[in-house]
Amino acid sequence: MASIDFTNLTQRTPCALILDASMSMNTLEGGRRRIDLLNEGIAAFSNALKEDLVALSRVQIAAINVGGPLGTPRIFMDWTDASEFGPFHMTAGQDTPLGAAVPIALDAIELQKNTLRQNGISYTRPWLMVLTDGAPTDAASVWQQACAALRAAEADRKVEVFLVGVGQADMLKLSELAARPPLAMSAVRFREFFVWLSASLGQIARSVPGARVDLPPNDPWASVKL
Amino acid sequence: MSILTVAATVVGQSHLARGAGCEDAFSIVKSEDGRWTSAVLCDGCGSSKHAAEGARVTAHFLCQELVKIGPRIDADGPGEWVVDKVVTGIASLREAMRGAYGSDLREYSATVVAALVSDRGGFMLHVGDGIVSAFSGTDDGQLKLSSQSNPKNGEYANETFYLTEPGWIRNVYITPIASNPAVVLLCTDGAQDVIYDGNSPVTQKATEFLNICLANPSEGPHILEKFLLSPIAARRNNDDKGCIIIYNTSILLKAASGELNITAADNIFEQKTQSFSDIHLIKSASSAFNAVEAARFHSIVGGRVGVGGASLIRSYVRKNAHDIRLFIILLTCFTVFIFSVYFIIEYFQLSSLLSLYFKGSQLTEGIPAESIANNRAAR
Repeated sequence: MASIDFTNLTQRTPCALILDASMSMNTLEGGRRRIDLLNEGIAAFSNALKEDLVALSRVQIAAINVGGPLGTPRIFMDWTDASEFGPFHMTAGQDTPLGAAVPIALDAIELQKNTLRQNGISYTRPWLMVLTDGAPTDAASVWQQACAALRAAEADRKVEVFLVGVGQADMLKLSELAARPPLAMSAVRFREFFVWLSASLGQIARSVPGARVDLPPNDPWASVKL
Repeated sequence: MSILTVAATVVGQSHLARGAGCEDAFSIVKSEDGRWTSAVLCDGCGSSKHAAEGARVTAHFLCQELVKIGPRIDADGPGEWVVDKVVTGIASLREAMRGAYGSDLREYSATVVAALVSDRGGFMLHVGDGIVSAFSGTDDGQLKLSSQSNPKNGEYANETFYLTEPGWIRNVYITPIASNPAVVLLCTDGAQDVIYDGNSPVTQKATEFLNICLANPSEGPHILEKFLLSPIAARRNNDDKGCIIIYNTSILLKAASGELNITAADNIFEQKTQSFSDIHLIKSASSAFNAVEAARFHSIVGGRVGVGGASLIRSYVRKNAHDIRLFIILLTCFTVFIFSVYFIIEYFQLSSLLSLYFKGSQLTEGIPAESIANNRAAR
């Protein structure tokens, strides 16, 4: 269920998260299950957003699960203003149909842009964050279609795509999804990643046309620098 | 047409903080016969490595290209060829930049606001953000906004367009200027935030500002620079600021009071007009280019002008979303109230009692009060 304050007419920065909750997220890393570290990261994300007043009034989040108890990708959390966003809990299970999650995320983004337009609310280019710890388990045709759709959306400036490979993720396969190369991360860095994401979205939310946007350094979490 | 131009660019605090210089640049050229003035103001893209150079080159080159068009308008009259010339001029600029800097021009990106004016009018050229306004003068010294080219930022609130992009031709906008413009004001986005209120010229501030520069022609650029560097300006926007003012002194000197004034009423009117779309402004500019030609300009260069009714309605709804929502809420409340009253009457079967009351009133009409009282006493 979406939670958006349409009386708040300030510009928005939508960010969709494709989160891997497949069986492999039960793998232990640093003595903790990856899925637990992810859930802690999401809680840290919620807290960090609440510390930034601009981000709080402008950032919007949606989450799409890959795997999990039901297996099928779906919108796990519909578009929600940062001010209404609270931590949600994910459970690991089943396969990694990452390719099937892509069109769901792209449709959700386009739908949200339409909704904002209809309500007279301007917005920055939406971000799409893909986090996975494995390799896609989709049929080859589904994966190829997903790659083509996401690359086209990226080229048409419909969305800004960021790929993050966690643990032993298949980085080669992941790099097929978008033009920007994926970044590698250890699952123990989920918290740092989400704090960085909050700060970055805050910067984007503040940005104006033509001005340089300096994203915070990703040193705290990325194995490869941006 | 006797022209006085005042122009300045100043570095913004945000640029100073990251050790960058001013990335706004301008160029002003008069045609050989002195009848036409070409003015181009560019804002280098902050994320481009060579934004300042890109802005400088773009301003200088385009200014030279635009001024060539003026005398030909005098000779051949306005027409579609003007758009062709503008587009060809931009293509020549891109060609020259590629020759100098290589095939990737993105590091030299800059937005463009420009104007070519004479006493018979002219046109504004716009790519990306920034704003251009043309004011006509009245005999009592009033300035009336006659046409305006608003920022063209596309879909996203934090992005704009540049001539260095592959699809640049879709983002070139040309807006006519009516004959005998009194003042043409060009601003980059930084200066816009200081001089304008959104896309509407701020009455008092704009008036004072235009008067001060006009009253001291030789000191104009200094005054403008000082104004753009003032703490108030810095508070409103920390970006670079660039501004060109083109005064038609032959018109302004005719003004009875000798002092400019932009009336609040005009501003309010113009705000409403602008909210529909640029097509209204194009229609108001009649002399240099008529509305048909203007619409054709836009269709040729891919300008997104909302000509259809649906577009006007969409634009109106977007701008007045708050009022429309309030109206719907009030209408809903009123409807609920009416239904509630109806429900109470029906549920408690008050209708028969009410009708009895009214019927009773009707029955006693015309009967003397004394007879009614006697009748009641008897009962």
